[in-house]
Amino acid sequence: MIAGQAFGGNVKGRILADGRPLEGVWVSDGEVFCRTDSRGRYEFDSSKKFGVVFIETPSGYVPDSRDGLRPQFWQYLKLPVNREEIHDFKLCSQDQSHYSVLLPADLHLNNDPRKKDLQQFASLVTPLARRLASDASGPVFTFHLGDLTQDIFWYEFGFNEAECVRFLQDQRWPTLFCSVMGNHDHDGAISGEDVDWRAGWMQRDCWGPDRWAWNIGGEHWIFLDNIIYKNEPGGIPGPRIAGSQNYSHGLTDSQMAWLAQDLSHVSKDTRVILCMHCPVLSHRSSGETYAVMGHQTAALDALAAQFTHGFTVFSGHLHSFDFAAMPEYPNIRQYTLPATSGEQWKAPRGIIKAEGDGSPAGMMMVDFAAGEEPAMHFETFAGQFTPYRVYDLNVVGKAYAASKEWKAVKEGRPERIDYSDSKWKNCVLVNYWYYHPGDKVELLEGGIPLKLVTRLAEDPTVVFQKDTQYVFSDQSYPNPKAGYYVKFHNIQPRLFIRFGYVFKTSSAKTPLTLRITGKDGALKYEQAIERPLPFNPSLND
Amino acid sequence: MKTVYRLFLGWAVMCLAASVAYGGNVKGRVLCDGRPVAGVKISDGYIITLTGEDGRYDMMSTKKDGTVFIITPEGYTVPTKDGVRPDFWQYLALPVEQEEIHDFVLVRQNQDKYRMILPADVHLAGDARRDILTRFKSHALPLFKQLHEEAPGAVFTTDLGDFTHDYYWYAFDFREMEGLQFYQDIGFPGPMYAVSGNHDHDPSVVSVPDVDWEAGWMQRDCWGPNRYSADIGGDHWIFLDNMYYINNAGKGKKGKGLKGDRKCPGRFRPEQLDWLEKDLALVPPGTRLFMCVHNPLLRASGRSSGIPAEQMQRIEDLASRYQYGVTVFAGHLHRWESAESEEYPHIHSRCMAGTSGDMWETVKDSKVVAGDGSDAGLAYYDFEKGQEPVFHFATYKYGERAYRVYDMNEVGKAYRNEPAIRIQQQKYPLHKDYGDSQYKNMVLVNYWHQKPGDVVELYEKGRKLRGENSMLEDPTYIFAWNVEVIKGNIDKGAHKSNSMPYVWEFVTRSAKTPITLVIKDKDGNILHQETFTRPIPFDPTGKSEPSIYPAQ
Repeated sequence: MIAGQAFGGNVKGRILADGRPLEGVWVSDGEVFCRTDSRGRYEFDSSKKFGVVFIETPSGYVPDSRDGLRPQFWQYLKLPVNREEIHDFKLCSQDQSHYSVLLPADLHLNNDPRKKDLQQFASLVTPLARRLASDASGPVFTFHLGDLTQDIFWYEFGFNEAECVRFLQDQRWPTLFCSVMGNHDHDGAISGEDVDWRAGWMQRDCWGPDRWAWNIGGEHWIFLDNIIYKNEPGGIPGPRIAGSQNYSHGLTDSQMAWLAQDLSHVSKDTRVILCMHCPVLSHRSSGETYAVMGHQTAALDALAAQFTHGFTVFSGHLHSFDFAAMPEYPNIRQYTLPATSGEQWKAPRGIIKAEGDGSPAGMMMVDFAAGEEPAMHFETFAGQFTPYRVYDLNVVGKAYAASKEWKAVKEGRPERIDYSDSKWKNCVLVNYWYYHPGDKVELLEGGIPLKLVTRLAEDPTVVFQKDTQYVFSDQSYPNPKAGYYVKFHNIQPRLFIRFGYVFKTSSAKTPLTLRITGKDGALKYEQAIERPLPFNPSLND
Repeated sequence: MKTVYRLFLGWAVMCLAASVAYGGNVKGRVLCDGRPVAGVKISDGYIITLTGEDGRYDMMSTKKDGTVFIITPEGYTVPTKDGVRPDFWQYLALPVEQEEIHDFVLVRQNQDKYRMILPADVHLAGDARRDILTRFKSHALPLFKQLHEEAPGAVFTTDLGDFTHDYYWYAFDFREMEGLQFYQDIGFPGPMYAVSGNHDHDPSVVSVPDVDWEAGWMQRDCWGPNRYSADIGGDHWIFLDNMYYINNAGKGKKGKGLKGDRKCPGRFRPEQLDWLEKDLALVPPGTRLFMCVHNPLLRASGRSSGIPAEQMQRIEDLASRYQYGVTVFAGHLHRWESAESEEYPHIHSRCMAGTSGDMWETVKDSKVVAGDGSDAGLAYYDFEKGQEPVFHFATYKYGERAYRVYDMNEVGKAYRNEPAIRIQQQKYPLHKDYGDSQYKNMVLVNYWHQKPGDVVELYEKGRKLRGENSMLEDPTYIFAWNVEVIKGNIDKGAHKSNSMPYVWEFVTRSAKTPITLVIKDKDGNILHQETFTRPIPFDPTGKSEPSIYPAQ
């Protein structure tokens, strides 16, 4: 037996900040926490189960970075559990009295020659990030909310999580960049026992543990993997893909235990922000909210209740805006952000692409200042951000009627909403993607609020940017001869948006007034609408 | 790069087993100031590959040794992990079938002039009796800092092994890791590279298939792989572990945590020399090579120190391609020895005496002396492009000192007046009794920095005396060790005999005439010249010799 006698801890090290030992920094292996002493030293006994040690960077500091992209807040534990190992960390001091965070989500980078997604990223996303970082009044961080790549294309296009890191490095991304695990960030070639952990190997190798935290300014940021990858048999075939890439949403018991322990070190008036790929709360297309993470939602709410500001949760996954709250979980405020890829880069080049919910593509930026409420603003690739879009369904209906592509979509998916149908005559659709809990949407005709016909709606821009573009394309089908094994675009049986409001007007031409108020009744948006209202799915106004 | 070197490099790269296509399992990028650096050598200890124009490398590694490291190119250095250790290596953590990313950062550095400090046998231990850590802080640390401050350029340190002492790892809870933490806590001025000594192994590791590898776990965890190199200022530095730990189970001295006899012959693991060959394939023939190991390859006699002949020959063959051969810096002996060999003419051995003296065993209020009687201190070389490296040795208290001159009339008095010497002579009759009249009017010169071909001359009234490299024992060391052992102040065994390779004896005509020492190199250049009036006091404790550093 090889004996390596532990001297009070098998993981130890020192944390330096600007070259000097830093006391009071929390260090963890995913199970155990300890804190550095006055010499900047930490030491603890680790099971080394998760194979990593990481620090919780304290406020006012930022970890060193080898590649200018990824902060070095974690290191692998390499030696057997009966052997000690040293892991030192270096920090630099930073003024975080004002700072900003970019929150891209669902970048779905694939190196797909059909979509030329990397080129689109380079021409749209990187310049936007550079401008935002340059204009900011303090340091800027990028926290990507998962699905950085896409499992099913890893082997077909030779672009996996590691390749994506290299790509972002080559882009000289202007800020430190972190990314949480999304369902598509797993290695689809792995299935079977313990697949969730095993399939996450590359994402963790690139981006770090499945749970960690970072104190920035007055905020405590927590990053968690809440995807439980299953990759069971079936699903879309692809090169080396072993299963259907299916998954469920949730945190492991170990993660929940770690989270509770982490939060026990955080002062109760701190703003706690969680970044996870899958949202905790969401809206159905009917407008009803529900708890996505099931029973764990209550557990998270209970943890959040300790804190003055509860939990703010940023997520992606839905490719849509979805700001949600539920009275049953009063301490959680969910902000789901749309896909920065603008629906996986499928929209034809040269147009302002829409997200999955019809909103203009871009990414959220949040500005933080000590003692102030964070300020969120959504930055688009082109043009100003609009919180909603209004559709004159008479005009939209004509476009549908004139489109042979739409007819083909409808034939294949008869359940889809056909706005050329006469039942939509004189109707107006408001797609208010930037809905905040408690907001109220009214459409007035002659000063009188119109009756809401339905909440079930599809966004016509999305239909014309995607479904009608690809319904006849060869790329819509598996094409082994060309080397494309995976369908470029699947036309969905239903494409409901979450915040659609369809109103019936009395005629085709009467002017209307859109009025949106907040939960306190204060007016948020008001717009006079002249009809007919043109319909331009390219969004080039 | 010159055209010839480019062609040479291209040929060499083709010879390497490198994987650069997508599909490698170890990949990364080397950046300097945020920009990629091309042509940087990266290795896993078996393969060496180069970064491309985009600063990227990609290799298919067996991950056998579990590390990847950068061979720092000339004109650059790496940041330190912690102010002490250069950040040139990383663990490979994932299974061989999984790829992993390991990036490296370089910092530009002017290396037209640089200094390499070469401590050896520091033997740190948490031993209260010897008070090692206090003495290191009071003696060695100020000198390290001074050598950094006064250096003409960049400064590096390479520890030549036996940084700690396995025998005491578990007795004093002070191992390689605690040694590193000690250096971190005292603000040791890095960067410091370190090679493994025999005493840097874990003595509790026995009876496993590869004791040498397993027992080296902590040394490698602290300091890095057992083979690596760096290009500094046009020179190529190689760092190897040539101590093969056997540690036969159940044998040897007993003590806490000691499971074997800690036997550790001098020998390279085969993969080290295989790697060395690949490493040198990328180094142009005009480059000066410096190798850092613990066990010297040659002894003062010119014979091998015990490294297997086939390994010596392999190193000789590799070194023969180089204009200057290879200069090998080592420790282990706790004494100075410089050696050349007719059998291995391209290997130049330079063994440094112990930075700890003789493991800090000399009594606390006496000066620290090494096993050859030399005053302990730090050896260092100053390098300048296109110039011969210049050797220096700074003692802890007395500045640069290459020799000591003994007036044996005064030494004889001390011997006659010391009862412990009588006991020594009774117990260990092989020792020289310098109290005997045969040593009357004799002068001994212990020129511990003697190199092959150096000549030591002594003049009395302008007359050159006949001298003999008699390799007698050094009186200071006898008093520092045997006398203190016999008195019970050192908890070790006495030496039964001593023979110092660089001791010269001269017989003068009288007791009081001044003498002039002249030391010349093989080309006749005067290296040292000093005149002494006699009698020359003999104070082995050094208490009467003031330090040139007021703080000490």
